[in-house]
Amino acid sequence: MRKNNVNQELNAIRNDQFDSEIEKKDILVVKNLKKYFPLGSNWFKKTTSFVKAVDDVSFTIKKGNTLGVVGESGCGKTTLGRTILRLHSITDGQIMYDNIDIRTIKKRELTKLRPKIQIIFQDPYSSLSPRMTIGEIIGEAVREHKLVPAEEHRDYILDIMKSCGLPPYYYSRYPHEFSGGQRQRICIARALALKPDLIVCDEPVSALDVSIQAQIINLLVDLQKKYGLTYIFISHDLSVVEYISTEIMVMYLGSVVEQGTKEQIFKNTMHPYSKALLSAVPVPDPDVKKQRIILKGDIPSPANPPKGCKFHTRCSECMDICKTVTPILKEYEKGHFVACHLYPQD
Amino acid sequence: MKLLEKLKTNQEKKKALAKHYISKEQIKKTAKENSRIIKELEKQNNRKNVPEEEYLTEMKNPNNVVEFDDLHAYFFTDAGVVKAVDGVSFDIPKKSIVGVVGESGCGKSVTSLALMKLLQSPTGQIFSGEIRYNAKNGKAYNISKVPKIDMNKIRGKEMSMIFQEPMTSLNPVFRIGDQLDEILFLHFPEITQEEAKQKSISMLNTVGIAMPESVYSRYPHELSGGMRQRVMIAMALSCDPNLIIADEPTTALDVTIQAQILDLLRNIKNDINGSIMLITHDLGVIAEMADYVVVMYAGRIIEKGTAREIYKNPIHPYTIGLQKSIPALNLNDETLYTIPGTVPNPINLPNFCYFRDRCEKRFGKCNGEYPKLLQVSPTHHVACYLAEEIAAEFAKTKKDGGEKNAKK
Amino acid sequence: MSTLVQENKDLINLPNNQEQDKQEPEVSLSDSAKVISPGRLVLRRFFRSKLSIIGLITLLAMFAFAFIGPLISPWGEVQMTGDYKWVTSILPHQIVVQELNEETGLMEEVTYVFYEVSDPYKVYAKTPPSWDHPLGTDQYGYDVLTRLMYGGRVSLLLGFIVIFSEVIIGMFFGSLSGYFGGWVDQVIMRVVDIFNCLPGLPILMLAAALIDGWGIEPRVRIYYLMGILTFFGWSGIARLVRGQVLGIRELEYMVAAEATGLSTKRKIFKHIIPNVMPQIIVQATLGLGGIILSESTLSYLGIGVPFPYAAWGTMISSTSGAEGRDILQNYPNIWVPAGVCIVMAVLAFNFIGDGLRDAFDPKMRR
Repeated sequence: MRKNNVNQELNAIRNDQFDSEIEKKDILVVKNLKKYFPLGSNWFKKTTSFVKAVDDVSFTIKKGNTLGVVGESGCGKTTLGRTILRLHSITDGQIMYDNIDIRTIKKRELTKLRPKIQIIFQDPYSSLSPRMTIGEIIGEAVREHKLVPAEEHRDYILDIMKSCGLPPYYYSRYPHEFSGGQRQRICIARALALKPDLIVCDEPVSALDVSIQAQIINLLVDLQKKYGLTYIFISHDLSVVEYISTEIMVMYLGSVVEQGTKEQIFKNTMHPYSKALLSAVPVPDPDVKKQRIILKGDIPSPANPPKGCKFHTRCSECMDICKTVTPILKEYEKGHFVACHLYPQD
Repeated sequence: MKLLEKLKTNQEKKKALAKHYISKEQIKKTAKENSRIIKELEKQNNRKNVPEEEYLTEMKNPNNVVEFDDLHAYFFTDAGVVKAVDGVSFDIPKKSIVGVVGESGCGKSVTSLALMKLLQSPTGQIFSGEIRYNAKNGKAYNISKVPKIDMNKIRGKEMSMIFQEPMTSLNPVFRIGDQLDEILFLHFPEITQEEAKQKSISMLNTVGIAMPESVYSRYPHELSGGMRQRVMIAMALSCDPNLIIADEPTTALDVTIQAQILDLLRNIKNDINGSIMLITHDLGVIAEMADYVVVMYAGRIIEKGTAREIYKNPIHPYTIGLQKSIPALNLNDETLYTIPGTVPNPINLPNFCYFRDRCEKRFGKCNGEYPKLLQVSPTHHVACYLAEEIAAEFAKTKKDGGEKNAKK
Repeated sequence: MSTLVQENKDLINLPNNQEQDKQEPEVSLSDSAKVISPGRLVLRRFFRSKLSIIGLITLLAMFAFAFIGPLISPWGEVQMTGDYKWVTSILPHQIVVQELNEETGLMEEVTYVFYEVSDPYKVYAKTPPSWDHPLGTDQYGYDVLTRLMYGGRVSLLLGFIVIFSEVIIGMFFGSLSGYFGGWVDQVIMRVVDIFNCLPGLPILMLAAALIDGWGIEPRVRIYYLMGILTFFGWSGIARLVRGQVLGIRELEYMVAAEATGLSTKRKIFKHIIPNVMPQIIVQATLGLGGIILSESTLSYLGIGVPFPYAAWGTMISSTSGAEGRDILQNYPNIWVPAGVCIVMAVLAFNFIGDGLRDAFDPKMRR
């Protein structure tokens, strides 16, 4: 009986929020976000060079949508995700969550805000403390933030576990008994237990087997529908991102090169890097022999990115202007932004 | 009375526990048994000065580079014997790419390690079965009987391996050049320093490294992941092997780099005139690369055939499910197909089909013993009761064809 | 997705399958669930190694020997054996003897102050092993076996107390330094560096000499000794803990703890400390042997546990001094057992420490 109450209550809260806003509102607005990591410093403690992990990134997400962030390793997508949670300090720019400025918020208020934005990690093995039971792992922060009354705590956790496909007897087990897929479910349950609005999924399925991958993706999609969650889905796997996202942002060396809705990115790919990324994905069909764009060379070091357009060293359509002038991210269709000299910049 | 009841429930509890947990006595017993078997197998393995005749065999088909014949590779752990590879037979024809797919723990890596005789001893052992290898000199070796010492002659020179982690498979304290030269010195003792250097640089050139001379004298940490994987491939190539085993060669790399490496592997196969055994969990990679595909599940082959057969006409429900569960590009927006449940525990596998409990299409027969590998076309084999009809049909046409031929 | 597990269960129970089920009532894993905590796993692995079991048994035997043995032994720690008369204790220039009081006809303890042990109170010193004295008596007429037991008490107790306080101090500063980083880390680590460059033995000797100089009572001196050993020993543990904390801080479950908004206290005590514990336990066990060794060294040098209290080091030091050469050559029963005890204790601790390390991290063993 009590279990039902909690569940209803939980759903009621979510539905209130979800239904009352018929027009989906912007839940997260990021403006000119910059995150630089200091690299070298001289004798007088003045940092001389930076790794520009995230360099001037702006986007907005509407409630209930999923923003897919794609890019190769070192493109700053993980840093972006963690900076949004303010797990890193913010170098410059603005992050507005529900009209709260995350950059200037005080520490105590940040702690209160924490449950609202959650994160799921790539490696399900290092993201669970090995010396705590599953019940403790999921319920710890719930208790800390007093989200449910103490006497309903256990039922609430079991309920969350159930909705993540975890049987109740897991409650008193330890993480070492579980496989990668189960652990990822536990991570999702931990995030979900805090009743978040926004979940940053940092490559949540990259470390999993194909059949388990599908289970986790479906779980994420189901939970999104059920609780009206908003996702920022970070991945290097374009096919997964295409499946789950409503909007997509392609990043290269800390900057956004193309940004738009899923249809715009996949049907009307404009930036040469996005094109190359798309064509590089292997297709599980032996008859399809694609005209593949194979990029030359490696990704340059983010500590020392090329001048002009950062992509010009590997671009097949590189022009003289690309080597000197940095292209501006410009809107070509409604909501479709591209930063490339191939298209008129003025 | 109460006490009796309590005792009874306690006993029942213990019994229930015994079903899912192994007792200490059992552990001791298995440990003892294991150490006996391991000792015997190790003794065989560690022999010296074994006459070559003992491990020479003949290939069933001289056009194959490798023939796995009912290979059993076990890990003898205290909790029980893990049958990582349990009766696997397939061939790697000359000048072809054979892809081995499966989820983690299905035994695909163990198969390749067994071929190289690199199973982690003493617990990991080739228990039975043959691996026939067609050497460059025309002889055929039975790898499972070759002692450890003689294996060194075959490894590297005849077949070589590319690993998943390019970050850890190069020694960080030696220059790239030294590591490349070392292999040459090992297999061609008469080679001079200059020749070795030249050969190494030309190898680096072959794998598409832009400035081979400068890379030759660099340390591994100065190179990116893609470059290191190229160096690994150069190392694998340096002795002109017959067979390259690539164990998840692109899993740790970015998509654009993966495309480069796959392209390179394809070109190299043509250059060296050898075969590649490509192990991966990525069905997309296999589809693009492989001529023949072997699908493994829980240590056994459940389906094998040409790439077209596996992708266009899959029969086993697991193969079908795997293909449906990839979120491929340009699909419509339904929920993804999932195979329910997880891979069974590798210790104490059931005697019925290992996939039964996850299978959607199971029927009465599936409770019977593990299905045999049935032939449904000249190249296509499936281990599933669903394929029985097709197999019977194929057997009939084959027989008819045979009779016709005989009449002619 | 939540229905997936349900579905799966339904799928398993096929019509054909149910007959089998009836014969053998299916016990689902959840019913018979036995929670295996990481601690239990470690213990299981620990007891699989023969060497660590040997270590544990040796250690338990030594504990029994040191703490239960004296209750059984007929001799006291400082009880002399003399001719016809029982000598109960001896201090320099003072001897307590049990004598027959001729008036009352009872045995009484009588204290004599003297300058030289002379004929009437001749003690049985340096007797060879016999039924009464299985390991003989030493140069003062004390029973060697009994003194070994008392010596064990001192060594083991001192070892445990010192390592315990070292761990507490080291863990406090180490986790502070590793978790907060910055100037806190700088200050603590520089202090640790200073401690690490102090030469251990000379400093200890100096300190012990100082205590001597203050004229502190022998009974209290052992506590001072513990304090000094702790003071110079905590830095190693602090450094180890700091390294571990630095590693754990970067792990994703710590980032998750940060993201869920847990308090600093909880992060340290619930997430970091339990995960550093394994390394600390191993380090502490291995360190115990070292502490016993340095205690013995100090006692041997005559600046540790003072005479007449027994300590293994003091017993070996009987080979130095006026009678030293004689004892070394002719009476091995006086000093060899103490040496064997030290070796055994240190070895036992090392075996247990190694066993624990392998049990905590099975990947390391190969």
